[in-house]
Amino acid sequence: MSYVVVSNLTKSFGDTLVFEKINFEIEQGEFITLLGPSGCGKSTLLRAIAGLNSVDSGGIYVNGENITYQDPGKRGIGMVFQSYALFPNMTAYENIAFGLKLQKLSKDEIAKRVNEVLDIVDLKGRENHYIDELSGGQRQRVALARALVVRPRILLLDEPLSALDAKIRKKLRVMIRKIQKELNLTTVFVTHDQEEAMTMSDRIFVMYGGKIVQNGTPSEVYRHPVNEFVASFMGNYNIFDESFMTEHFTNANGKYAIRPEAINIKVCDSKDKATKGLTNDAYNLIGNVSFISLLGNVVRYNVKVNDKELVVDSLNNSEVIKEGTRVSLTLPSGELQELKSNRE
Amino acid sequence: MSKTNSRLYHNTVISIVIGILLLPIVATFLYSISTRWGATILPDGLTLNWYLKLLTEERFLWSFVRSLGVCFAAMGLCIVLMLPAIFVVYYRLRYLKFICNMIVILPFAVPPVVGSVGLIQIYSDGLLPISGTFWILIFTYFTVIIPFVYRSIVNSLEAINYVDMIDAAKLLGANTFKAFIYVVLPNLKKGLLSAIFISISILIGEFVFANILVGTRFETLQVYLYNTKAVSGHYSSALVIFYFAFIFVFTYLASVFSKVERKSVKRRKN
Ligand SMILES: Nc1ncnc2c1ncn2[C@@H]1O[C@H](COP(=O)(O)OP(=O)(O)OP(=O)(O)O)[C@@H](O)[C@H]1O
Ligand SMILES: [Mg+2]
Repeated sequence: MSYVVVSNLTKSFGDTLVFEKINFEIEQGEFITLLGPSGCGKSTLLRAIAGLNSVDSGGIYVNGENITYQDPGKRGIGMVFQSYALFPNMTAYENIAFGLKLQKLSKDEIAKRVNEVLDIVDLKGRENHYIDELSGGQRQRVALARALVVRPRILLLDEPLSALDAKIRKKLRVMIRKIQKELNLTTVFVTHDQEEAMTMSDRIFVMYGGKIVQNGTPSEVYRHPVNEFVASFMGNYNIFDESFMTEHFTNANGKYAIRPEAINIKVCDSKDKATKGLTNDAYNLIGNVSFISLLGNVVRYNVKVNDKELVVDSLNNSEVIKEGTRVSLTLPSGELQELKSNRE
Repeated sequence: MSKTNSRLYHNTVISIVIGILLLPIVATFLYSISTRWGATILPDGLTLNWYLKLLTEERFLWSFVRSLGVCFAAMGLCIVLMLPAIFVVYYRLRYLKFICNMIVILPFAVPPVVGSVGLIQIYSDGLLPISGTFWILIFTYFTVIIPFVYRSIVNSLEAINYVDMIDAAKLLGANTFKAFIYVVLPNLKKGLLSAIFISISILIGEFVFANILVGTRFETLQVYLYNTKAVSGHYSSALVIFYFAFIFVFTYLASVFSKVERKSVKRRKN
């Protein structure tokens, strides 16, 4: 049995069903990211695990123990909120010490442990400032320290970085991941940013419409999206419907997707024609470049094939193809992913 | 417009506004320290006799003490009752917010002259037969200040992210009560202070209820002022300036006190 087991968890607010029959397992020390669009129930699920929301049915088990109906304070779960939720009437030190004071530890013990985590989150020297005297990144680190200092069994982070600017966000990602690994802390991280999910997690749970639609390592989820939603959410997948598939490649049922960097692009002249069917295990399309964006090391081409616009990424190491140029696209058949419908 | 010109303009406007606001107070003050002030622009002579007379008048001092007592009792009662009520409504029974917002306006809807009739009826017999005693004044004043206390507390509650703060405290081992005491209440200090100032300022100047409900049986400041208005305008002016100065000093001290507190915490720790 895994360290954390969530089974058949269901929650609704009045008439609105937020999630239904959620099942997953998390190993000890694993870093899990719940990824999904706004309003899909990520926070509600996280708060249910923390005990801040009741659930309608199902169970939550940690280390074999059923905690579904336990008080939040007894679960041994630490949480960092998107809004920080720091106490403005206290200094950073007092905020961090709050949980330890409630445990009635001695002053010396509290000071020792607070100083330990201050070191970990790199906030030494700022502990006597009030919250409104700290920057956004510092506040989030106080919130992290406050959750860590009580030595939780599980750490929950609800979009902790979304209010910060890109640079600090990247720095804190690394910091959080490092701390998590050092403490071997079982962690659930919520985000709607797929890049954040890809760079930080051991495993990603993609949530959509109150369900976990896919669960796997970042590269599994990225390379083998199960449905159209995951494909469009995880990258700029090109998605082909049945009629496009049949017209250009082969008779097909349902939708297929291909990553923009799996497509090969090269200039061709007006004589070249697309061949239907497989050539060298690849399909072939002819189109015109309609738009170019330089993304640094990658060039992104939008290529118009009849009425459909495809996205093609290629490394920025040769001459950039000009807008309007006729190009031929090669799509290796092994890279075409069959997609399930979003409902399944 | 040049910079100095625009500054001059701003200063002039502000001075005029302040001047208009201060004029009645300054006039009252001048009147209270003048020997006689009849047909001339400025008083004939200056004196502190009116204040001396005031401060040695036992009847006045008692009325002041009574007023303060009733005001603080009503204010305390109001805060003690409203604070948990607001907390429960805003934390657990959010659908009641709308109803509360309506209810707190009621004290404005009934003029004191009308309201006092009903109040005397209610408090004459039944559970609380307190008609004619100072108790009825406390229970009446308590309703008068409800809108102000409610708004001050609600405003400062809505300024903080109290739901997440309480959740965070709960995860760290606090129960709802502890979370409220340690995490929410200290952040309502500003709202509570303003509730206190407004309540005291309003209640100390209240006359209609005091006069109708208890009158001379429990002479408050305003009732005393009314009953002695025939003595001398100078004397009445001194009285007004006295209680005005009291409110001013009270407000000032409390705000200074609330600022100093935070600084001292920082100095102690550094
Ligand atoms: N207290 C509540 N009462 C009623 N409905 C709620 C409550 N909390 C959340 N919901 C509803 O549940 C759904 C999921 O909300 P949730 O906050 O879990 O989404 P989320 O995935 O965290 O979104 P975001 O990325 O925007 O934070 C939403 O439709 C929301 O309106
Ligand atoms: Mg959320």
